[in-house]
Amino acid sequence: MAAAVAVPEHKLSESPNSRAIEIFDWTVTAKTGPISSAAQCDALQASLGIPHPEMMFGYNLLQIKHRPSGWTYAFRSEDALRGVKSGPLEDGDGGVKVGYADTWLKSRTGADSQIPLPQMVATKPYDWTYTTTYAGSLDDAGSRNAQWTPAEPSNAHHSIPIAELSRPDPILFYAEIPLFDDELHDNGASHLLVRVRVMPTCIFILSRFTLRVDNVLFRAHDTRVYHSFASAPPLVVRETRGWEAPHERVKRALPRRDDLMPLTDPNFICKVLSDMPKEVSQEAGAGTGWRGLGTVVQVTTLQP
Amino acid sequence: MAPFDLDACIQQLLHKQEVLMRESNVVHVSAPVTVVGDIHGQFYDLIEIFRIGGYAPYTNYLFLGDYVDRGLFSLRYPDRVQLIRGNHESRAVTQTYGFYTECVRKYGSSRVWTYFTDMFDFLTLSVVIDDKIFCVHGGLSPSIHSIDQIKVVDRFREIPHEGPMADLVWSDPDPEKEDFAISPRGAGYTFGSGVVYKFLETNGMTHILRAHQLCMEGYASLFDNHLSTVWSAPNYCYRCGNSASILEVSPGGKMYFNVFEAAPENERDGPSQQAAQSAGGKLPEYFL
Repeated sequence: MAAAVAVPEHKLSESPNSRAIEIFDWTVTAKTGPISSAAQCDALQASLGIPHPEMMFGYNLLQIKHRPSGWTYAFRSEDALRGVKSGPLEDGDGGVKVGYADTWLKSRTGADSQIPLPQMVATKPYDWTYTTTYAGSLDDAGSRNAQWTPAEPSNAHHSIPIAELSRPDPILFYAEIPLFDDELHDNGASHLLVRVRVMPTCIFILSRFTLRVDNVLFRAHDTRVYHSFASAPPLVVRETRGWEAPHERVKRALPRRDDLMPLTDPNFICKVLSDMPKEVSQEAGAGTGWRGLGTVVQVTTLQP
Repeated sequence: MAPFDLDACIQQLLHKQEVLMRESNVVHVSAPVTVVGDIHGQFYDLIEIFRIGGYAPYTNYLFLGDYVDRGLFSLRYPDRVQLIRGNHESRAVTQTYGFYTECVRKYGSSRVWTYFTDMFDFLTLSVVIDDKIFCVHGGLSPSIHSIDQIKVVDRFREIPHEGPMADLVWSDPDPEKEDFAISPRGAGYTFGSGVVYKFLETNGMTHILRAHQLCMEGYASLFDNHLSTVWSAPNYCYRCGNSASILEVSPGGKMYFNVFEAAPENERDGPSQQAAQSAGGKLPEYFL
């Protein structure tokens, strides 16, 4: 069967832990390696001021570079963690405690607590859920004129074309790049995963943050970056979407009530959250006041 | 290999349960013993452990917990070894992290899962090697100063959210602290150097040995070598790329971390096999 679209000339390269594609004016590089070493984790912890996630993929990177303009956009775990709140959580941070926190604290400090506690110190507060609205990093100082500006709703080019992306064109380059993972001490899970596919007509990135706090809430934050090779001057569209819902509400969507495994699947979580009415998952959320809810579409025009 | 007889396995499990029921919350063992950390159902890596560490009963084994969840082959592990309970040996946790699903998919019902999780209720909480090395899955508890206090805990139950039993399977060391600290999650503890030294002194011991925390190197030593973490699931979740280790304790208390990597069979039979053609680790997908 003939391909629906012509496959443009491109060059793939590969080295241990790194792969790249050169296509039109672009270079896309994906690096995936093992989790960070103890020494790297210590250094990161010192620099961030918060404990690092259990699985910290410090080496991993996705980078797209527009060679004529030098515009370089990247996704990396350290930058994503800089978006995690360090210090006491405030309005808009969407801070939560584990489901049984009140019972737990009472059992340890209440008048009927049978256990005299030894000296206790306060832990430095930070967002232990690793919630981040990270939407990528603008890497290159040469990107003098590339600022994200609000998309014009009337401009058809200022949105992500789902029809084009649904077409089964050949995938020329694909990578899945985990940035971090933490299981919140069996109280849920926090994941950040970046995926990229380079198609004959476009580059498409999805960076997905998902959070489950058992018996409390689900939260997700997606960043999509899209560039059509046909755009002139070259245009990049970035769309971010945040959702939240009480745990119980997502649990109702389980195919089998006693099998909770789908609740560990980011795709299942995002599907359920995004299928809910906007007023539920993008406005009310789980009532935490998290500022990441809602949708923002922005564009940037690259000028060589 | 003999055909797999489910009913015979369940009989064995019930027999094991009777043995476990008679055990104290603190079991004493003697060196030489080889200590194994989290496995998480990575079956081929468990076989690799026996390859490099020696087969039971020629080598004595002490497993520190977290046998199930996340791996592909949770359902086979050997007898004749000392097993400690980890935080994953729990109904609530296995229902979420894969063991329940695995049992239902492989055996058509939740019956096998029920037998296993019932048996988990009887696993011991701690082991002491040669009266000197205290072994536990997670760490210390502010409710426990002397190991005699562990002996009176009622362990024949699902792991609770609070109390000493929860602390033993869940708490983590924090090398930057002296004391216990409450986690910002609103529940759970970390414990610092002062806590470690006081516990060792009170109980006349020299070392704390635990598992529970993933580390790239497969092991970690803290508090001037008075506490070690041993991690035995290489390339955890088939994507972390980490090393693993088992800890060989000799008579006299000498300790050697035997470091190893993922077993070659994972290449043939693990989930990475399906994705081998793309170095990114996964088959291309038309995500939107």
